Amino acid sequence: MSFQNPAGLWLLLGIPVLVVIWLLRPMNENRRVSSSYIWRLSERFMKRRMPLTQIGRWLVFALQLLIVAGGAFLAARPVLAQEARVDYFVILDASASMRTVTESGKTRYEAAMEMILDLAKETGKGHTVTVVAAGEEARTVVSESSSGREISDALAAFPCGWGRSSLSGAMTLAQLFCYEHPEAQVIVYTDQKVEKAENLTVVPMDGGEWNVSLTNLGVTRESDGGCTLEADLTSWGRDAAAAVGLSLDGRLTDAVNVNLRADAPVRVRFSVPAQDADRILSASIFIESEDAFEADNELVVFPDNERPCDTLLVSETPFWFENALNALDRGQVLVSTTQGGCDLVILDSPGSAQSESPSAGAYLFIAPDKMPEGIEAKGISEKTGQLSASAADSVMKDRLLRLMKLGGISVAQHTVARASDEWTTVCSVGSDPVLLARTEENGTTTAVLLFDLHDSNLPLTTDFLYLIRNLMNTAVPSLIEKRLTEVGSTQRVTLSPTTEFVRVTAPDGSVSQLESEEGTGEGERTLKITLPGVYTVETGEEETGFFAAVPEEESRPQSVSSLSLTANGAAEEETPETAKRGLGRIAAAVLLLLLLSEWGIWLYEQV
Amino acid sequence: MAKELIDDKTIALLDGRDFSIRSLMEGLFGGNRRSAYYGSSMEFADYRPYIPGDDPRRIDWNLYGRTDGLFLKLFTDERRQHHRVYIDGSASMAWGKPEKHLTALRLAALLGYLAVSGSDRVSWYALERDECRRVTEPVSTRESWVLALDGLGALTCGGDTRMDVSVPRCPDPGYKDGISFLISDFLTDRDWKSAVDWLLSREREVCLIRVLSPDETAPELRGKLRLRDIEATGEDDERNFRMHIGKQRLRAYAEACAWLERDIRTFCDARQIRFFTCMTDEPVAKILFDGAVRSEMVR
Repeated sequence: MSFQNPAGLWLLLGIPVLVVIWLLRPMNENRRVSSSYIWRLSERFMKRRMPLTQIGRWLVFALQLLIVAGGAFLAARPVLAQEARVDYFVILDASASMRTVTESGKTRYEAAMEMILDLAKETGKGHTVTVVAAGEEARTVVSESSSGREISDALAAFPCGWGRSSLSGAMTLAQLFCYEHPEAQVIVYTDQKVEKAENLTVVPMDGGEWNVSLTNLGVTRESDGGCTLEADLTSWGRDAAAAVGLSLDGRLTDAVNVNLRADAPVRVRFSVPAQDADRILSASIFIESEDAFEADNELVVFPDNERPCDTLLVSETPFWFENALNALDRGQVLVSTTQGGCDLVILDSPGSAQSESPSAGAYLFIAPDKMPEGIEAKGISEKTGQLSASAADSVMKDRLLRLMKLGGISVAQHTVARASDEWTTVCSVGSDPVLLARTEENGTTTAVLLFDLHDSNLPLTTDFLYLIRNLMNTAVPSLIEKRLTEVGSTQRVTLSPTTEFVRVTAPDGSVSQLESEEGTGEGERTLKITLPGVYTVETGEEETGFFAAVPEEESRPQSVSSLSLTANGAAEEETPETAKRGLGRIAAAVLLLLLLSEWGIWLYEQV
Repeated sequence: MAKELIDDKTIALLDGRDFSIRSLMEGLFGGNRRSAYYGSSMEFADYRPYIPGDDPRRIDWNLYGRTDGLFLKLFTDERRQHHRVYIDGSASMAWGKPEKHLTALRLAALLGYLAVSGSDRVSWYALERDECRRVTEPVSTRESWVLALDGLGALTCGGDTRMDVSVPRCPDPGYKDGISFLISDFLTDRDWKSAVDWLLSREREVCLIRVLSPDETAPELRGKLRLRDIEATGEDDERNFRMHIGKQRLRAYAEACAWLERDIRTFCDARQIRFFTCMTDEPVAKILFDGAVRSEMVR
């Protein structure tokens, strides 16, 4: 037996209160009588008349105790297991972690399916089973079926996913189901740790299997032209030793043994020499261990496949820019005092201003005398401050500040300006925005830097190179947006004007053509990532690849989830206020019954 | 004090009244009561054959003419009887408005008046705890009766009277010479019946008068009470106890009262004891004519 409103059991505190009241009741009043002989004599007539009268007061007390206990019981609204028809609503976690292999050799997902089939067999005639798989999205596998075969077939046709679990979405479906079936029982098969599972049954599928994972891959370019690959190596659940290797284009070049403490990530690093860094097509960090979940044992990184970007530099002091652009080696650099049609236009001349609508991929205005439309200069601030990224999240900020650290960059003087909502603040000094950007109607990007480069040490840092590079990538996007992504995300593919087709080869070997979709630009395609592993994208002109990893949280024991469900539809509309009101009514009824019992006894004795 | 006990109007009602005595007593010489002895009164009693030595003047010659035999004519003897009134002096007699004790003393005084009016003697005894104390010297005239009322009125109540012990300790209980009146509320679980039997063993007629106050027959107590017996000796006395008094309890009380009344009456009927119960709120005259006369104690 369970209780829909356990808070009602607090009324049981009325029992000790009642006992105290009875103990504190006025003591017997002293009355003198000429003789108590007849009173004593009356005892035998009392017993003969009504034996229960001897314990009458105790009966009242017992009755009052029963009233209080009954009131508390009613307030708690007990739910008794019923033999009547039961509609089972089963939520099957179909996230990647359910692919973990258990000691029996089956995955958690397979074990859960067997348990569901057992449940379907045990349910008697008239019972129904509805199964919802909580993968990237909650999907109904089978609806209100009484047939074990139907349930078995439906489950067999629904494989476990590689992404996250949408248990909350499944709970929404369960809630809707419970509106229609107030007596429904909700069962969740998951390896997530559920903190509170009110009104539902949670069957834990996590058997404490050991897993070691690689996450947070990072690639750093070294000054010598080489690069460093690093990733977090974690042993979940227990101490262990793991062998980690580096493979370049499928060739093992380095390996290391790491002793791991349970749940404590260790950052492993591999260096790739300059001669290899420039020519390899892919690099892979992998674990040589037989753990229960293998999908997180490898991370692959592909080099950036950046497209050429011609840059027009309009500047009276082009020194820094020329050096930076040449270092990036992304295309032709034109230095001029006039604007022209290039992919990226940098306007670093005090007298320069945008004279016509931008036609290039991106514009960068540096300390312009005349602000672009939507930005209003308020004055000059000569207060030195640190350059910092905007606190607000935005796609523009992510694009322009990619790989930038923004550490130790100071600005001695900047223009104080106020921008309209069209502009996104990318960087700021104090509370003043100093790098603003927006996307124009024709798809170009305009960025405005509100301080002169002479007033900052920005040009002296590597962040300056990254900023220019990010502007170039904004002006001329790569074929694919992300080199390393995860299952469940969407990969954006940007086509060049001459691209005729886009062919994608998935990790399972399947090949598909990406077609244009509604809601995306003419030169864009999107690809929904459903499998972990290496994807290859071909356009006839270009070919590149990217790696899709399983979501990081699927590798480790899940964070505690909080699920709740109200069991029946009638109670759904009950708010805390109505629950309090109901509790108050019951408490009032209990009080009234207590008074009535007292009054009834008094009346019985007096009349 | 005498006027508090009795007044002239009540005394006037007693004129022409006398005790109803069922058996022939012995008594002392000089009274008006028929006795078991043959004597010199005017009331014929019997004949017996003449035997030599008898006074020839007592021979009934008329009978000799009819029977040709010598018979003596016998006459009853008249004696003075000595009535004794025992008054319960327990603390419970001090209960009621007016007090039961006062009613008992009034009755005792009236009974004494009836005694002296009939040329009998009367003695009053106070039953106090385990003792039986004579209140005054025996009274035989109206003058001495009036004087004795002061001593009677000075009686007080207190303690727990054990009649089975105190009555037999009567200094002058008498034998076959009058009526023993016992005035009490009989609200005790002591063995008062053995006291009555002891009085009967003195070959005297016994009359019981029970005095109760109205609140003893119809108490107005309600609720959770700790009843404290007025005769209890301390807090731990078993006669003190807690009780919840409600409708059921009052009904049981009434039944217990009726049962006790029946018990006393059954006891008295079995021993040819005259008995009646009176209430303190009743006038003494009503008690006499409704109680004493109806129970044939007084005629």
